[in-house]
Amino acid sequence: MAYLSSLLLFIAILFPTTLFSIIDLPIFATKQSSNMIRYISTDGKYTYYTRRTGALALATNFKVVEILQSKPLTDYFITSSRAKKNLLISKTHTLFEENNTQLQSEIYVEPYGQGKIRLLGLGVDPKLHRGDLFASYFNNQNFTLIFRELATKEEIQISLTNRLSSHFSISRVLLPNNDILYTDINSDGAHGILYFASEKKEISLFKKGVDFQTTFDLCQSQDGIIVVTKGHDKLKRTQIDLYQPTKSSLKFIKNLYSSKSDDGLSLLCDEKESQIYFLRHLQNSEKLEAVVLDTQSGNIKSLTSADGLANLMRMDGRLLTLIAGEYYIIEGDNALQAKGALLE
Amino acid sequence: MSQLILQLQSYRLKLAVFLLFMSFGTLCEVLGPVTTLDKLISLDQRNFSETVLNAKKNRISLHQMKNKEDYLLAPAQLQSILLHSPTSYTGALATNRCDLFPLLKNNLLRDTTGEIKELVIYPQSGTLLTDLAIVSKDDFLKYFWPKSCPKNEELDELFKNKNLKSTLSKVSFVKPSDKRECIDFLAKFRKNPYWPYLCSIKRDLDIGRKSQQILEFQNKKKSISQKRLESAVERYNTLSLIIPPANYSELSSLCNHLDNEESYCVSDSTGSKWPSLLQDSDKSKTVSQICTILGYQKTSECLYQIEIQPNLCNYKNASAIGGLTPRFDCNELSQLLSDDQLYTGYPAQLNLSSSPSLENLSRLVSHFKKSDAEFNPLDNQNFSALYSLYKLIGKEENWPLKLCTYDPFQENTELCLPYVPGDSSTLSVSETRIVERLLKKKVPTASQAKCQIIKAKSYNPTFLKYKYGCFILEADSCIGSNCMKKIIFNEATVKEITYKGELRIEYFKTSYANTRYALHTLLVDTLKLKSQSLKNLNEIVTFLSKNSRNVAHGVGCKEDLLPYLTTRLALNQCTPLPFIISGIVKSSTETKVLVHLSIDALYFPRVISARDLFQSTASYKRLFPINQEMIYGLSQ
Repeated sequence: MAYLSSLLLFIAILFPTTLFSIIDLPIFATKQSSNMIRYISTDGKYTYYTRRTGALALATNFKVVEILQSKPLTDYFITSSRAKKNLLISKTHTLFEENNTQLQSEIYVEPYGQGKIRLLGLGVDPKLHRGDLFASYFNNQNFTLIFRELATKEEIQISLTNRLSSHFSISRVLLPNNDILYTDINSDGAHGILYFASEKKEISLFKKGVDFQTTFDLCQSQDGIIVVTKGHDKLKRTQIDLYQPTKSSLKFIKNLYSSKSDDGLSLLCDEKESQIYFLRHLQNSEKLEAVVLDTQSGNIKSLTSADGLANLMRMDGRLLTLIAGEYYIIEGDNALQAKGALLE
Repeated sequence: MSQLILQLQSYRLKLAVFLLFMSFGTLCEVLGPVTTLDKLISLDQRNFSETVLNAKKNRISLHQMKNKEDYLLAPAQLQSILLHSPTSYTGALATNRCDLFPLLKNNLLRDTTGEIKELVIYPQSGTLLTDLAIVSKDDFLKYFWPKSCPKNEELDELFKNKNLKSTLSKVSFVKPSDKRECIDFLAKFRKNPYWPYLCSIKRDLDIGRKSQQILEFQNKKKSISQKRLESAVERYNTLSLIIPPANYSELSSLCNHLDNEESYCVSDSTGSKWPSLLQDSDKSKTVSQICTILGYQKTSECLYQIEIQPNLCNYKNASAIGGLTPRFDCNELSQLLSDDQLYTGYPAQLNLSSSPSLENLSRLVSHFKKSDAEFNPLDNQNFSALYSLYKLIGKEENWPLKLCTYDPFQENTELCLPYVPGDSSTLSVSETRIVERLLKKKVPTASQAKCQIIKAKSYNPTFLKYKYGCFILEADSCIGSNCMKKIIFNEATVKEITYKGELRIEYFKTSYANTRYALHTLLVDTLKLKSQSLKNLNEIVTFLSKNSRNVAHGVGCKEDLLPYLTTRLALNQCTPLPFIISGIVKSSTETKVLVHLSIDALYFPRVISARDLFQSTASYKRLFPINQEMIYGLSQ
């Protein structure tokens, strides 16, 4: 009996009871506090985490190297994609304090897992494109959207129409011919999608909202460009359409999804996948469910409608959600089980 | 004529029975009311199409209608009118039989085809099978109108454009607040032969407004529909000049609820609340400010326009107002403002402060110190946020930003004066006034100099206006205090005056041994407020309900507060966003909070679900260096 009690105690210590919470999803468990981690690969081989000194460290192959140093209260976040060729690291000093400047981050590029960084620019909202060969970010001081080819450092700068708010998050896609599709706001506050023709350096209107309550979101899947049109307030509706690039524009292929609700939240796509992920409302409810839509077949599968579900994000193949301050896994492995995870 | 009305009224009963029958008949299937209505509409379309097809074989004109013959509407025509016309109009027909004609004439009745242009009739002495005929609406009206309702001719004259203004001046639209009086008022309005004309005016205003919107969103193409839209807008422009500013919404409410005293006389929770906002002294100031930023000099004109065109609040002057879009339209905004406990009756800084924390702080100071002119000087719009912080800190020696020089009259000791970045003609502590003060000590010829702040790239001394005078140059990227500046006087750089100090602010303290200023602590201590942490929706609701001046504030991640405008793409990504919770919005499904985000324009709050609110604070809290609650209620 004493042996059984000890065994139970040992198991309880080894496997914390919080691994599975009352939310019916596994917690994203890591050996370090998950609030310190900024990126961890599925195989656990690469872990990027912050230190209280204000540094960003990379743990790999049983080595730890500080790839960025700064003063305390500096924070970082890391933008990645499935391609795993490059990472974009945003370094910000304004997570806990402000120094009364326009809130910009220093954005760095790091070849995946190598620990060597170079400055890309100052701005916010960095993204990777075309298998990590291109990066883009928003200079929120002069309202410019910047695309950079990482190998050659060639750059395209697009001056936005939006002057209303520097907090507007620009949705954008780099097309195969290097043209760019992106969202913008005009001087009346109406949202639209603009098309930038890179050869002629001309901008044209691709799509405009039918009213002032319409917003758009874009992403790129293996099968084409996903355009999400959302209506808000009294005119709630969502339409997800598939387009394919032509020589100088986009051709509508089919409607993938329609609803009379403001769905399409947390839209996630990958250029190499036919699946797109997003959140939608359960019927006649404010509760959300995570779904995956196949852009080829048009099939939609529900993944979870856990209580408090309100966002999605992907990190090296895992699909995660943050609920009440804790990360949970919707798809993928738990980091604790990954081989090579470094204990620090 | 009386036969026609009786026919209409009895048909309503038959339609009701028909609907009942349909609903019983479909109980075995799983059908909801929408499906039943769908079936009803498709049945109507079938019946009506067949009837019209038969009737078209016998098209008649006014001359062919026998003089004393009474005609009836074909049952399919009646059914179609009842099904497709607003029930408030068809219901009101019971009161005054002559209303049918102006309703038809003013296009307020509809059938399957939409706007009625022809009517299917048959003579009373004939039969449906053999005598069905189709007549134009105009001929129908010309046949029935003069002999049955001669007074309608006079009404027509009264509502012509040239007489409209004087006709409307004799009509009251204002709903009595007492329920009994309200019911009487509605009954009288129904008996008033003006009502079909008035509701037609309301309809024309609605159509004109929508046409205007469509035209704005379409590229101008010359087409028939384009001409129709332009004509509708022209009519709208004419009417909007004539209709007095005594509430388009009152007329709208009357026309929408003409047949239903209960829904008309119950307080309208879905319409505009601008008139009731004006009854409150604080909120009327907010209304006045909103009208100013929308570009109207007179509040009366402003209120009229925003009643007629609610989407003005979406787009008018948007580039000057700034802040995120989309926003609520004016109708919804008025409802939110009626529930809003945050005082906003003062000129707001347009093109928001670059510091969301200071913007939030400034709003809270203005709320709790609204009657204190010292905290609300009139021209501090450009740096109200920083000035609020300066006032809260109170002691000059504690303010970190200083402009310094060596005083030649004081044995060259360093003289440092605190300054608040920016320009103010009235506040001596503003940057420009302090520079002037120090410049006088260094440069005797500068005694009358007035300094101004300009962007470095616009400074060009080849232009005469820059040759003489005092200029403070700041870089494009310089917003606020921590940036490089250069002082120029008469084309020479003034190196003797230097900027010192750095302003670093935390919203909540980041360490237990914090010696810097945390805005929350500063606010509570200096303004002597009571604060309590609020951990769930019930606590927020209870706290705000205790006193109409109570508000709460906090910080959360933007990615969670605005999920339809931002996406979190990285692990632990968080853009901190301070906010003020100033009200509760209850719907049939859930309770939400009314929130002023620091990155939104002051007068435009948002409605956020409790889920998103607490998600945002939990996301921020998990990253915070100490265990810190993120929402606090503030009260005096």
